[in-house]
Amino acid sequence: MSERIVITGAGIVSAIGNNKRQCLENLRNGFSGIGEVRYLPTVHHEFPVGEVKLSNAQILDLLGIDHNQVYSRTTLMGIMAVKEALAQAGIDNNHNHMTLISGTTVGGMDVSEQLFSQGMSQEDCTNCIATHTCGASTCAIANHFGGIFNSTITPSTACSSALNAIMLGSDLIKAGMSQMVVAGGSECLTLFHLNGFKSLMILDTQRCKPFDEHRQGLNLGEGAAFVVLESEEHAMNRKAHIIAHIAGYGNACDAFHQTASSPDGEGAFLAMSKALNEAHMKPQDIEYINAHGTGTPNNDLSESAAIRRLFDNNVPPVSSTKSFTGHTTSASGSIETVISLLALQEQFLPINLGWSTPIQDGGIIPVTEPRKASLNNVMCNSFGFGGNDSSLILSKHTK
Amino acid sequence: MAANKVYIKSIAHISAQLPLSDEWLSSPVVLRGDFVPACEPLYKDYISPMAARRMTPILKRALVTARAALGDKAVDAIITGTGLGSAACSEKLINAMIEEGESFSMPTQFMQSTHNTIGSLVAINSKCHAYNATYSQDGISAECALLDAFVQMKLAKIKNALVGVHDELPHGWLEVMKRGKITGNPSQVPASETSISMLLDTNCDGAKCEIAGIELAFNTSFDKMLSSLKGRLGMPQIDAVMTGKNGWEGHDKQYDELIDSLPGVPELHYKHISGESCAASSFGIYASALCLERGIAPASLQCGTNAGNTPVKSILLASASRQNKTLILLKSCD
Repeated sequence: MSERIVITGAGIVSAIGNNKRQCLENLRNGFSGIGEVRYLPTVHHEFPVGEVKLSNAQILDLLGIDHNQVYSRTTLMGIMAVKEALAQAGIDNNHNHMTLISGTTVGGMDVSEQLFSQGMSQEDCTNCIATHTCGASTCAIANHFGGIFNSTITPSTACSSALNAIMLGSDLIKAGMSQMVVAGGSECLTLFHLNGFKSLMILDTQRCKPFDEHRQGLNLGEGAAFVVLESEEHAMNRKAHIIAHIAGYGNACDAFHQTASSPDGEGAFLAMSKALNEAHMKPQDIEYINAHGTGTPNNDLSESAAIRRLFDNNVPPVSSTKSFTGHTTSASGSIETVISLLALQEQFLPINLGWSTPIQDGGIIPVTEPRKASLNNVMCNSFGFGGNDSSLILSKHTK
Repeated sequence: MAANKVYIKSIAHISAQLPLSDEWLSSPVVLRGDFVPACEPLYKDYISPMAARRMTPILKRALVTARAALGDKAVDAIITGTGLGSAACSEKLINAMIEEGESFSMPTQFMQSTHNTIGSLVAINSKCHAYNATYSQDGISAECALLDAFVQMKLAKIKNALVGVHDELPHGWLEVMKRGKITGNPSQVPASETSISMLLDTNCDGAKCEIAGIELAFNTSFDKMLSSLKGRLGMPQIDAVMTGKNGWEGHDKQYDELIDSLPGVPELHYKHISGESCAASSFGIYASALCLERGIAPASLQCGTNAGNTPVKSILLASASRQNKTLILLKSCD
């Protein structure tokens, strides 16, 4: 029996595009989606953000949803990305045994902060219960697709949520608990976490500069991305086109601090090492790393240390694509998985926009010039608050 | 699927009942009113007062129950389920935003407001670099966390795991939930708070019970799920069914089709003892494990008139939350 887990569909919504084609084009052309806030009703215009370039009303129209129903933006973006992934995988309404695993942390907080500020009438309570929780935002995505999904699961490990969703999905298929899984994550911008990150004083007032000596912090972004997972055998039996396979993944805990990463990047190092072990690969087999690279002084130093520990003097090309999308928090793991998939498919290296000066003391020198590359195996890192660190390896599909 | 079996080795709770004690099984505290907060232990016996000052109730409960369930044992995974996460922190942030607008600065509250704060704090305190994940799926968060541990044990990726399920209910959320009628019918089941930590292991020595199967479903009826579970496990014996009924007719009738498809199987309840919360189903797992360890379901968990101890070697635990449903089959150890 084939235990290999393959990807047969992918969908993405981010600041650089509402689908894979747009995101690819902007990645290749070096067009960032980060700019002055436009849709989030915040007073903090001093912090640039990576917003999806659609209002909620525009998304509702695009999806053909009734405007009278209350939806969280997390759910709306999630529906868009799931729809694109399902379409590519050739999944129609005749499928009815799929699991939806959608990582999120803010869930429907965008709706809740609105309802609380307007005083929570009885109707507001009903709407709040329908939208507030992480679980509710996933259920609402699943509901949009009729009977396709027969279970929903919501990982919530802050910024690594979506990568952990893909990992759980792969395990469920390997264990025979699910046949097909749509896994990823969705997170919209909210006043709640914009002001939260502001409190932590890790937001840059310029476009972020991951791995640069003069980096000042992160830009928040939003978006959603999902992949369709199944066993290779299952995909072949239904004659689905296989985009890539999941070679390995690892999850470890830094166990250092609630928000800061350890100086030696222990959690990140362990997560990447576990992923390599599971993939039966050596460090030199990895040809590109899509780093977590948030642009905060702490993350980029810690991640650099972890990559240097693992790859020694043979660090493969590395880039953080967060200066394109912003830090899409809980969705970042799947957004960057889809970006890594695009790199693998199109055989190119996404650049680390905005970088100019190397970090002293062994920082990573990222890719800055767009170039073609022969890629077989790529690694995608996703780290969260609390040291919830995860790493995934995608491989070009070979029969 | 691999032949590894999954056992519950130890469980500790802080809930509406006497904390860190199994006494409720024979003499439960009767819960009255629309909200019964968790009954706290003396935290200074477990956490230094300095450290405790910086922690919200849910964090203290998680640390103490984890330590009680785990002792000094190192584990291969820490997996957490929570429906609302650090609700007290997020409520404070929302209130500050309403009162002060976007000028507030509350770094500590924000740091502690993410759902994974709970599981990562347990990891930081036990210096555990192992697999660490958190699930937040309303009232079936416990089952999602359990499923992750179960699957990784079946795949032989891990040998043991600490599974923690925690929910707190601060005032603001309680009000919203009461008005939305999702806290249980207060005449039978008050709203409450539950923290449960359990150690799962593939080794059966000293185990309370075995987790034989887990079934998760969305927009599916319990009888269909039961067929699926039976299909996976080959018509297992079911001695009792423990339901998550909370006194609201609309919620409770979801279990009828399950009860109807198990004629003659006695029905057990636990929410009159635990109260209702997103973490309540973990109390159902705990109650079932204690029954299986002792081989009997005590009168306190039974409904109807046939009060008396019922012998049990297997219990089917059923939970419904939003459009999600779960079944867990627990068996006494051979």
